Amino acid sequence: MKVDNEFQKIGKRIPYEVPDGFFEKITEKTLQQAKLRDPKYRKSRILWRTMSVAASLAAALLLGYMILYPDIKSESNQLAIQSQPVGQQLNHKKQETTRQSTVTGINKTGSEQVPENKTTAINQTEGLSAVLADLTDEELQQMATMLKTDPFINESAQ
Amino acid sequence: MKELMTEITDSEILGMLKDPVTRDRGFLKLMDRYKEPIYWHIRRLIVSHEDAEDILQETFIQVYRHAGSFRGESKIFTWLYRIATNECTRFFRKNKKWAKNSGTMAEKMSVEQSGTDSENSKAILFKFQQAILQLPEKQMIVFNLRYYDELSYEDIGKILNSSVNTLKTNYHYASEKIKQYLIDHA
Repeated sequence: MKVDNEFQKIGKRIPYEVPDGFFEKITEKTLQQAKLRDPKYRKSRILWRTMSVAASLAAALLLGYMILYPDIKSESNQLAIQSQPVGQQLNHKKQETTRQSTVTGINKTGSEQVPENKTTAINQTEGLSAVLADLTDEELQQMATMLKTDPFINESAQ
Repeated sequence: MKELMTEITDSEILGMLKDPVTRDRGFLKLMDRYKEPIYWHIRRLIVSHEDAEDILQETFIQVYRHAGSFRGESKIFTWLYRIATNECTRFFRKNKKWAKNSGTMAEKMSVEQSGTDSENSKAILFKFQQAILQLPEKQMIVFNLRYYDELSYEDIGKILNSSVNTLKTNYHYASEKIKQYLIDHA
């Protein structure tokens, strides 16, 4: 070949060298670079990064809010109760009273321990006396009439 | 013989590159096959190893990204050489004073520490590279592709988008200039 003959004396050697292991490492290195610069891979990476940042931010905000306003839960319960109809509020109060009585029963120790039924009965009597004390004479009269005339109340009493 | 039977062809590698499932495996196969000739093609033009490494990576990254749109009208290696050569040309544009300063080039060049090379042959290799680097850009590329890579004028034509006759003329002028340089610097 003419090409070879022209510079036969020189040959095809090159006076350059490469660092050891260069060709072994370059393949994997290039693949990693190619993947990083691939638009599809980049798009999904950006999406995941955005999502993780948003999640972290939301968690941090929630945590901060909970630290700054620790009573927010009880306040919100209170608000919920206030916004309920009167009948439901009474039910809620009843539940609260029962819960309180249970707690009272638990807290009482040793000699002070009272049977649960008895405690509830006492509380109920106390509640009834308070209600009766608040009633006017006329209201009391009405209630008495109602008790006499109402067949269901009389039936349960019997 | 068995190895020859199982050796994967360029078109099979291209098929792997186009399939998202086998894309990475195809890429590794392609790099294993062509990283060395492409690296040396770049290195002969650019001289610096660091720059040649960057351009080599860039070349294969381009292949990874655009393999899907490669229609296979030309051979895969001519496509690779074309991308690499374009990257080198871009590098020349960015670094206009590149390697024209023989002092800088001498620093970048490191003569192989082979025991069989005499001082004289080292000097000849060095001078030969300097002679090539003095050539105009296109002549230098044509000379390297023909002389070192032993590519046909048809393949070089596909790489550089030139006619065979133009390339032959380029090669002829390049050879003459190199000879003259070697005589002048003997």
